[in-house]
Amino acid sequence: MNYGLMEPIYITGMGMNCSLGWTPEEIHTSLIADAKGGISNIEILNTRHRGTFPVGEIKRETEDLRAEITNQGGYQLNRTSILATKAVEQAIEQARHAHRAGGRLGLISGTTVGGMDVTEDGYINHVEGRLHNINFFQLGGAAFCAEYLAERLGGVQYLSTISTACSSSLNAIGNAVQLLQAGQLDIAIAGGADALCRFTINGFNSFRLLDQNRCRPFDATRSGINLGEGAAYFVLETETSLRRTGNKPIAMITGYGNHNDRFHPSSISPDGVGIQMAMRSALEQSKTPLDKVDYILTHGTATPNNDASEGAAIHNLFSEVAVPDYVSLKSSFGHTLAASGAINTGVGITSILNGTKYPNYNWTEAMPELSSGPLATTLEKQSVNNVIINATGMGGYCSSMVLSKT
Amino acid sequence: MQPVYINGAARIGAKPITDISVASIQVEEPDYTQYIDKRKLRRMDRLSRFALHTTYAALEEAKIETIDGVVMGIGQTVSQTTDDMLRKMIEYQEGLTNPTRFMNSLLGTAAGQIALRLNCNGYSNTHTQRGFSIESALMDAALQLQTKSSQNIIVGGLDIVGHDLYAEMSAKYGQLTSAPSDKVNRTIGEGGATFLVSGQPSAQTQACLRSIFTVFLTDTARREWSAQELQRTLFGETIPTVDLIISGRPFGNEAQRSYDNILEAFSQDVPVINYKLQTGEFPTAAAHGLYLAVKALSGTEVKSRTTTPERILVINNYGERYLSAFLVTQQ
Repeated sequence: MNYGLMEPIYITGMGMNCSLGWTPEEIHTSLIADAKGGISNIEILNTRHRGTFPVGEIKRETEDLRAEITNQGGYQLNRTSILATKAVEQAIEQARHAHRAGGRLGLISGTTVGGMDVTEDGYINHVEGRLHNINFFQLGGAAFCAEYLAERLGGVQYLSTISTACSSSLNAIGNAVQLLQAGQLDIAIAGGADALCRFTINGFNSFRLLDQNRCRPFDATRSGINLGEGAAYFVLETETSLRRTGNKPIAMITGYGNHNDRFHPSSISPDGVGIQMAMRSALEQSKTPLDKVDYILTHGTATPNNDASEGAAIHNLFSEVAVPDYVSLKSSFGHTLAASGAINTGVGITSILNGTKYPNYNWTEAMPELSSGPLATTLEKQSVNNVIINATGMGGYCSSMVLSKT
Repeated sequence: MQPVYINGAARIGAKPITDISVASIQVEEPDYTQYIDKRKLRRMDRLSRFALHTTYAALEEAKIETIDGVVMGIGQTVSQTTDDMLRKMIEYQEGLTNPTRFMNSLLGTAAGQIALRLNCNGYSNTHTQRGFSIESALMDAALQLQTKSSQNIIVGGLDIVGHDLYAEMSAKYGQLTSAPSDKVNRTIGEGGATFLVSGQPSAQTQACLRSIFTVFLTDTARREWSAQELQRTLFGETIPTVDLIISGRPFGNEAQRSYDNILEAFSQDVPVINYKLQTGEFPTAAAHGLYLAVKALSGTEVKSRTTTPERILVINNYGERYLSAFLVTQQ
């Protein structure tokens, strides 16, 4: 966990999707050329909140997406599992099917709602006492996505789903990293997915955390979240595994920190104690000095609470050196909940590979309590060697990861 | 695997089942005010109540007051807490609902409550992989202890029934896990079992979890899997012997072959205790199997033909797909 150094874990494949694109390359291009393009009115999700809350929605009906998945194993896949499958397929394609190279393979997936879209539909019949035509009890559970992926891939010898609210996928990657480090696994496929659903829109609305306008992370006028959807998964290997698979790593995970903010069940402490500890632990493990951090992909939900807290944590941690360029990408493709840490990890990798620092879109007014604002314009031809990825979730969960150039 | 010393263990469960045609059983609720403030209890969901009550009881046994981390395993995700939220969402036609209902429906809430109440800013995590939830949580705890063995970590398994939801769903939809199967007889149960674990033994150590085996039985894995693989994982190079098997063999027709395979690989002289009559069927029932093993090894509960066992194998299944085992020994 948070002690001692660790051997790096190599990322050899990645796949991701969100409202900005279906591949890491598409998302990279969109973040540079059309950073606002991923937020829009609700057009696909069937909810009474259409027209009220902007979201980062993938503009494809679930049925259409489902039709693109071959070998569905006889299940009617939920939207989360479809997005996950597409990302996993990309990742293992890039890693040249490392999962079939032998060695002990694990699959660790993060989700908050799982197949809630299926459960919501089923419940409308269920509460009326009618039998629903889909077994939503099975297909709607959070564990189903990993079960389906394990069946689809074959050869999965260790299986878990992590659900720590909006930090789920970063903790899934963290769990995989630790299993690889401990010798429990040789190769892991890890990441997470969440699709938009009524459950989360209404849940966040009950907390009055949603913005009816485009969200404005780290802006003085910020007033809430734009939800989003997507998935990102990675093939992770140990050095020993690399020798067997011959895969070329695209980046390394050099540190992971996980701490609890233990402040309040549904909000985080004003000074961001938990996320500050998580960043510090991840950096210590990575052996990366503060002044070697090039870029921070924050959790940055655009709620007044989160950004003040995370902003304070960053400025406190980097009080002795220049605060690195930091951004929230939530104004570009929304808060993808459980998937957010994994999608930020994917974006961190494309940042390292392309030497690009993507901007924090829709930022105009500095927060009075922070001495520096986020990076508001795209920077290219940068030397990006170490990137911090943050994710927090209700329940006090705070996690941080250090991605490094190979 | 890093040895996991169990220095405290507590459980909330139902009364033993006397009639297996009963669809579901709920726990005998303890007096939660023993550990939790009455005002806090009112807004707390049952998963968190199970988690906190068993956590405090385990800490009492371990004679410690602070922890360095918490890892929970929650098996069933479409359950009472999501039921509450979904029903209100439908009833109010997506109108504003109580935020506590949404928070309680998040699976990470129980572990978050433990960290909050015990003022723990160390590691926290929640696993939810149906029949591997407690197994993954224990493995996660072992990984933390491998990094720093002096830590004290709370690790537990939680499941709730509520409103007969499980039983109703199970009866209507026939299957609980991803493997297609005929309807089976089950008495659906619920419960919480929590352990205070450390990488170092203490005067309070009751048992030691040596190794964990899991296999996800896809159709291919079912053909290829063998009990010898289980023995290799659990025992390594040592001779695979135990003096008690605590078995989660279900009453119905599911997963019977898996149990037969495992039992055949061990001596027929080893006594076997079936524990599902004491717990009912739910994804984290293995946590209760482990609890019974811990208490047998510490000589406080479960009498077997041997006086006090030294090495116990705990086996569990959840549906046809999930099969797991623990090797638990005296310190």
